[in-house]
Amino acid sequence: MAVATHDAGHDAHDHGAHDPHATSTGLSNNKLGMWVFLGSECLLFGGLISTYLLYKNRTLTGPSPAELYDIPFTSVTSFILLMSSLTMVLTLSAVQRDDQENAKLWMLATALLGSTFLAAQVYEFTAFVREGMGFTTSISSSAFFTLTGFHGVHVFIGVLMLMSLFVMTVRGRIHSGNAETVEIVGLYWHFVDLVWVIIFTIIYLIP
Amino acid sequence: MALIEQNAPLALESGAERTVDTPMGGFTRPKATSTGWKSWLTTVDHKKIGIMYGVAAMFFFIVGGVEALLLRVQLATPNGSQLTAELYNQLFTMHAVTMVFLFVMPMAAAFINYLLPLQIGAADVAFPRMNAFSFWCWFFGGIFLNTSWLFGGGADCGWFCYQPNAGVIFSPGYGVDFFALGLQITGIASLVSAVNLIVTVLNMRSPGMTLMRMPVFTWMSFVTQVLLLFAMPVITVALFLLIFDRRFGTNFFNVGEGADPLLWQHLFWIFGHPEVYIIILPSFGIISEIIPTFARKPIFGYPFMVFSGIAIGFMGWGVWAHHMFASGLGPISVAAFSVSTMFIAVPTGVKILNWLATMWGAKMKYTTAMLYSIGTVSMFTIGGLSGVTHAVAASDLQQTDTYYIVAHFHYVIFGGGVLGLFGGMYFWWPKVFGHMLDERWGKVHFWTTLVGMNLTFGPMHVIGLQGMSRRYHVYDHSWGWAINFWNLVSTIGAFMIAASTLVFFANIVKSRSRWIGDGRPDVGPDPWDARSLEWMIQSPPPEHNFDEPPVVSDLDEFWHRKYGKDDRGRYVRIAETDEVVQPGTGSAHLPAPSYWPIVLSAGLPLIGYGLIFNLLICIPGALLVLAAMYGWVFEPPDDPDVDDHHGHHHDDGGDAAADGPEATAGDADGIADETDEAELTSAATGES
Amino acid sequence: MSTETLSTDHAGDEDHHDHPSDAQYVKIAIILAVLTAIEVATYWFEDSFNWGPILVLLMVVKGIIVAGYFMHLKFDDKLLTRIFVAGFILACAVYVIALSAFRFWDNSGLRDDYGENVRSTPYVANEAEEIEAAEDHGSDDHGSDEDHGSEEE
Repeated sequence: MAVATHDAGHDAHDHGAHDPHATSTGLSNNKLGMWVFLGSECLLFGGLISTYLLYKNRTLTGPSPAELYDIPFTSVTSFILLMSSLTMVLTLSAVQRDDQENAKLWMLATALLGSTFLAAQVYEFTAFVREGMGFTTSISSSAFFTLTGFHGVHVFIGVLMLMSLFVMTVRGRIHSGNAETVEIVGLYWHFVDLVWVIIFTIIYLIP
Repeated sequence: MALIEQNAPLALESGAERTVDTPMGGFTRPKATSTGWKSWLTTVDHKKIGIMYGVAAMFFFIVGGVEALLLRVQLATPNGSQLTAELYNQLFTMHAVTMVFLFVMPMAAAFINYLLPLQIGAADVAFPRMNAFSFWCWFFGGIFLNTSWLFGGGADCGWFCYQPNAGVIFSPGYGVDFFALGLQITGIASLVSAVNLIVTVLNMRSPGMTLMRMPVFTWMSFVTQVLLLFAMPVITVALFLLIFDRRFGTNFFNVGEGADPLLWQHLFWIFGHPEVYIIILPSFGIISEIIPTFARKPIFGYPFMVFSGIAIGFMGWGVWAHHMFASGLGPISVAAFSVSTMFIAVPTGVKILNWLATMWGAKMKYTTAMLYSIGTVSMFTIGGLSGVTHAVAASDLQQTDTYYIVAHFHYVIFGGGVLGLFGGMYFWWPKVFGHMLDERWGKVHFWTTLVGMNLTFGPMHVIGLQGMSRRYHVYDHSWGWAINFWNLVSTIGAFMIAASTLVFFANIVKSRSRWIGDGRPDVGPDPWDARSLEWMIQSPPPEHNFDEPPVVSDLDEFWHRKYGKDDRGRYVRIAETDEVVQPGTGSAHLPAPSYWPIVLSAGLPLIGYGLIFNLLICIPGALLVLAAMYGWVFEPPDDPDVDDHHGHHHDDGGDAAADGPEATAGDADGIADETDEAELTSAATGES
Repeated sequence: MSTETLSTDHAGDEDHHDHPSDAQYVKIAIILAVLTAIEVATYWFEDSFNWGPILVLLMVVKGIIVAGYFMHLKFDDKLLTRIFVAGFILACAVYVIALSAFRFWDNSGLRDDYGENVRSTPYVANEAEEIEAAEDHGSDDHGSDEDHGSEEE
């Protein structure tokens, strides 16, 4: 069986000391762990989205979220987050070929795009509050803020991780040998983007 | 904070000088060689963590048991006056929450932590520090939950905390807040440990250990962790909505604002029904190890055993609304969930059949562990049969919220879950502690438990069918002799269970003192002539588990190394145990202990108190969590005492993910941890 | 069967060669941008046409592209895809069933028995009087003044 000969095979013709300890699947623990975790996240966002869908039209007081959506504005922020996924893969690709300058550039760009998205979300929230839809105005507004707020917190954590990575890269500690760290942060980042793709369509665009 | 975090770890990673002693200000990794109580606080050894889970769970078992006894004292006689209605509500809620989340689940986690890596031939779990974090996070969450008694009383909403009954209007105290936040914290622990153990099973198997060669216990644990992985986020959502309702003025469950309280019920039971299988499957796994050992036969139909476990896990997601038949779901939903609920009895029946077939015609050894396993099968079958009656929606409407339900789930959870866990303790005690538990006392323990539980929960069928609702704090003489009489019997049974638990504790103390008095004789690696890999190493196992990873070529690998076929095709002994077992003399590179898991966990209850009493308290909690996360990620891979025998790996950065052999063994966590926990904890902190 | 695929050797090592180049990543991003533009464009079209299914389809395509290319699922061990897709499908299944139990799909979320709770007139923003008027209106209908009081807690 492949598993039985796994260790021997690796040691014989691979890159010796730097060979990651052979795992049963050949995948690194970290990467597998991240994917397992992302699988779990689906259920979290699924619950929040369902709550919003169930409550979206139940507005006794104040405006409903759907009445306040600024689709052009949100389209731009969605586009920004989508492009941050591009800069994230470019980051990884630069790290993998030890292109430190580009890695730093794209990392910073990703973090900036993410921060821009966050800033736009804060702006959107304050605008909604000004227009009479606060967190507790109605159950539809609560559901809206809870869902988008949870997503925003995820983006915020992603930005924190990207900034940490950036500092590490500046210190010369991120390189092709440990590019997987960047890849894993990237997985998280793309997932957050993926969730926004869903939120944007289901919450904002479908009336 | 930030200054320390960024300077110190980066300085330490600059190549050869990385062994400076105090890379994190006052913190380094604790010394791996340390002993005494301190070593328990910082340990990342899955075996020590497993023992801690077990001890802490036993503590909460006593807490929950005392709560149950108080309930039964109140109900022993009609119009009992020992407890007020308020206190009674709090006690039955906390009894349930304690038993489910703080006893059965962590006790199962104790077995899983200790045994799963051993059964797959691994040196440890995939993320040892995350494992320690899971334990401390759960433990602090449990303590946090129980501190509600100091702040005006426990939750009083029943364990499923239906809305709007659990809103501030009907439950103005802090109890429900402690419930929601406490479960949120223990939920983080469960989720982290689910990720950890799933990766462990997928990635850390020793050579040749294919999935279909894994012991049934490992398989059932794996299914349990998958269920936890997907169920926890659902209850997280529900609990967040509850917390927002109670603490931040939203109206998610306020009918007056157009909300639908059934949303809570759906979210809770989408989590809650898989939770039932989370409770029961580890116990199924345990008895699937015990029965073949003492029946002296391989488990009957191993693939069916595995796939029925997977099927239970899978179908467990499609039956949740059978808890809600009385809520006005509508005929289509009720019919659909009724059918799916009947179907889930099929894989469960397959399991029972397989256990029976394993025992069929066997030369059985009736040890205490085996008795407990047989007890589990029979008691669970009773609970399962009464469960099938709930699947019939029309009949269920009569039974909903009566003692018949209480009887059913206690037969399942106590009869199926707890008996199996006790059986596991007798079975693996020599492996874990190096000495047997006394068999005679064990049998006394078993029979008193069995009789006690049937006296306690059996009459509840009658009480329920006679029409007594659960959660009544009093009943009256006029309700008929059956309700009066059987309630008294039930109380007597409860005290019998309490007495049997005392017998168990006495057995622990007595067996140990006798063993010490005898000069600590070696129990041997394989006292039961058992089948799986954990018996192939010394008892108790050396810290590094296996001297070298065993190469597996069979299901029940260890047994096949002891027994082979003779020329007539019969199994005969081919090797003495001592020739097969590993001497425990090797020394693998072990993951170094760490301060950060306990530090990180300590921040979470602070955030909880902050959300309840004053948001300012959240700030130190959140800072602690954040600092611990950075400390964790930039922690050096080893404590300073360890020889730098693999120093060249550190040239490429200590905390990086794919960093060298110790990446998987010890320090695989890297940034990925930060991701997980940062995400999870911020889920807890984010809204503050 | 699954054990065979699980034990694929060298999964991580050889994949790097298959990954898209930077130029291809840019192309993928352009495709995503175009899809987003199409999605957004529906906003300006007539409401009479039900764009829902098309929007969901576009969303799924976008999601698959992000997960498949940016998250490398297309090039990685299939186990990762299975884990993630398992979570995703499970989430869809349980929540769709739960929403169905609320009869959510009957009237695109407007349950008949809640219809009266939903304001039929569009909300006019930024006018405090209107807000109060709406609140009073709601209270009158349902006599839920006490419930508003509970918001403060």
